[in-house]
Amino acid sequence: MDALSREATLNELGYVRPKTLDEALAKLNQPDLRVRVLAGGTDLLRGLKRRVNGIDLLVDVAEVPDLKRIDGTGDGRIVLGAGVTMTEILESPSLVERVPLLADGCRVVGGPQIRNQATVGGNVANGAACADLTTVLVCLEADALVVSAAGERRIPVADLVADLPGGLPGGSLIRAFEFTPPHPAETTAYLRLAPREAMSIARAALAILGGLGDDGRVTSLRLAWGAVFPHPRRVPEVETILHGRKLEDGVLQEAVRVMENVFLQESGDRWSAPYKRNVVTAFTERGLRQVLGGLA
Amino acid sequence: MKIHFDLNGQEVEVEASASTTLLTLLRETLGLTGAKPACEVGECGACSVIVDGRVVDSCLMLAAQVDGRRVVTVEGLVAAQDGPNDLQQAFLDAGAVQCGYCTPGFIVAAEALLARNSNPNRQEIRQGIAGNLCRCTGYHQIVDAVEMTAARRRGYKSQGNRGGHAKDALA
Repeated sequence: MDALSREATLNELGYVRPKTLDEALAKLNQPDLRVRVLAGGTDLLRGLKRRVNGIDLLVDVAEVPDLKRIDGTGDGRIVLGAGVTMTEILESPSLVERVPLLADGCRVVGGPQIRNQATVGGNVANGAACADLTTVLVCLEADALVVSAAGERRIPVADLVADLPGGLPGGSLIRAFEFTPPHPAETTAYLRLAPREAMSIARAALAILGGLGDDGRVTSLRLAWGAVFPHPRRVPEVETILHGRKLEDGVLQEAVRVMENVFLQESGDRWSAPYKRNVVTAFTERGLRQVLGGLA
Repeated sequence: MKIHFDLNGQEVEVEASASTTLLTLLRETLGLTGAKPACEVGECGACSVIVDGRVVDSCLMLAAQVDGRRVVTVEGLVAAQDGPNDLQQAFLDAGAVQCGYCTPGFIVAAEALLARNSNPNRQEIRQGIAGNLCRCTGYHQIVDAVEMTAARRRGYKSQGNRGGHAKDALA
């Protein structure tokens, strides 16, 4: 099928661009229509062209001011509007400085054209197992602030993406993400395997955060994996092993073996598992050294 | 639906269905064939245009999304005498054009880069054109052309960085 006839198969659909959150929610809340939020559209339009969405109405949230805000809360948390683009995150000096992990996740998404359009909310709501920003937000223990006509609910991103195969609840959208930026004494890293540096979807990714006490013992540790499990998620088994201990070789190897076992239990029969097994163990060791050992 | 926007400095109003992509609107309705259809899934950048100062893939935007916005296509990037501008001439001089199909997309992406960064190093140029594929040149000549143009433009004017659209209260 040539390109133009592929475009001609787009569904006949409606389009609205509300100017306020209330108006957007009213448009979304039409149970007799199949309504979808249009954020950047970089994933949604691909689906539309393949005719997989079956959508009646697109609600373009590009001009809803509540979704474009980057704010701080009184207690030091950051509220990142779901409609903020990857480029806008990278152009926010305060975000890049305070949450380098977020910038690391944005920098590797697509190319400039994609980052100029794609939003953090779209990356999460699209529900891909390899979503870079979702993986980062899970590592940051971010909450999604999900609004509907009934009000706003706070849902941990980790829980939200576990339920996403069923889609966001009808008539709702993600307004923002809220998280505590890493403590200045904590170190973060984003390890990512992809065929090339740009325009490549992650084959495996690890967002990792770690901190050490004055005695060199692990005080904080979070590992979030992308493209390794059915959705981005943490592996608490590994975090628990290291907590309160020093990163010595024996402990490190124990953590790597536990991570390997968790991976094999959940993904061991997939065709990519023999290769990913090596990537997962290498990333675990490298990531732990990077954030806990200063040895990279 | 009616779509009203600024196209290469001219106000236009066109009728399009909500499912029409910006690429189709530009090529089929408005007759501007500089933006090219190729992958049509946002992988190749041949359809690049600039919307409100930022380069985007017009195949991944609906025409409706540019209502009220400013769109610049490669046709809008011309010298005063309607010929090639300095960047386009540099592409010719550097041998950065072979089959030419990807060239408009590269020109648009490079202009968007130079508007924000008047002195990019080669790595930054590579990152600026990372969303564009060329199967002929091997990219080095394209990077040369952009580098050459940046140096020449710095010779007679300097441009500041443009601000973003997000309302950043942390800044």
